[in-house]
Amino acid sequence: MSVELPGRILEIQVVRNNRLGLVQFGDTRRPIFLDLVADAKVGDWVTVHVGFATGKVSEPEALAAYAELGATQETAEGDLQLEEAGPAMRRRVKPR
Amino acid sequence: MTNQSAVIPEEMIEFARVYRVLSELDPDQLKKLLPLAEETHFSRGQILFKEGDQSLYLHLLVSGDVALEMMAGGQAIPVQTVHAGDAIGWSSLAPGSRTHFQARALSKVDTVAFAGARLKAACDRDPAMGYALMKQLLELVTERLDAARMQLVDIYGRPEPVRR
Repeated sequence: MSVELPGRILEIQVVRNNRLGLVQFGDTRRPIFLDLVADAKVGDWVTVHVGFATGKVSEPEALAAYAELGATQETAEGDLQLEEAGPAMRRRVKPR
Repeated sequence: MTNQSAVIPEEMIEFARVYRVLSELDPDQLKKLLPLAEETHFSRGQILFKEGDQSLYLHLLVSGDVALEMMAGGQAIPVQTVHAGDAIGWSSLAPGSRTHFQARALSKVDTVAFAGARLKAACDRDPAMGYALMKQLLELVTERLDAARMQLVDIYGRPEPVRR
């Protein structure tokens, strides 16, 4: 089974009859179908399974998932960073 | 906000093409199918399945190239190369079927795989979903046959006219 890390929607486009989002996972971005999460919008965090968004999660939940894996998440605007500081993870989230 | 006026990136168009078997299903149908799917990964040279194996998985190729080969005289004879957007292992939807080819990864390959028996059972429980899925699969199979015919033409060329 694949690990289902949440990703953040950077952009949404309609291709044929489907809503596709460009979604950022850590330092990679990939297209994801958003049809199952009708109210998903740019900036939302979504859980993904085999290329389809399956639900939304809050930003704290998403960041906690990355912190748990010791991953570094950086948005396209660079306004969000998780940094490893010694054994503990600390978060720096720019207020919106 | 949905951006419908901007130029659609190539990667999104390609993504929609690769997932077209699933992209025509409605949300309720997708919710039934997606739990059955898992991502699988193969390295170059790895065998996805051997000829004559019990056909267990339907693979939708997300990226990479796969050679379909037949064994003859102990050698693997290439029959066709399939690419991202193709499906292989659709015989897994027929109970008790065995694979007709060997499938070998020619590059790093990523697939979305469905256990054929579970997929068939889901289609039996929801015939409308099964019909929608089978229509898409049939389109893929037809394209595969066309591609195979073109490859045969490439290999054997046009026959010489008969001299009288």
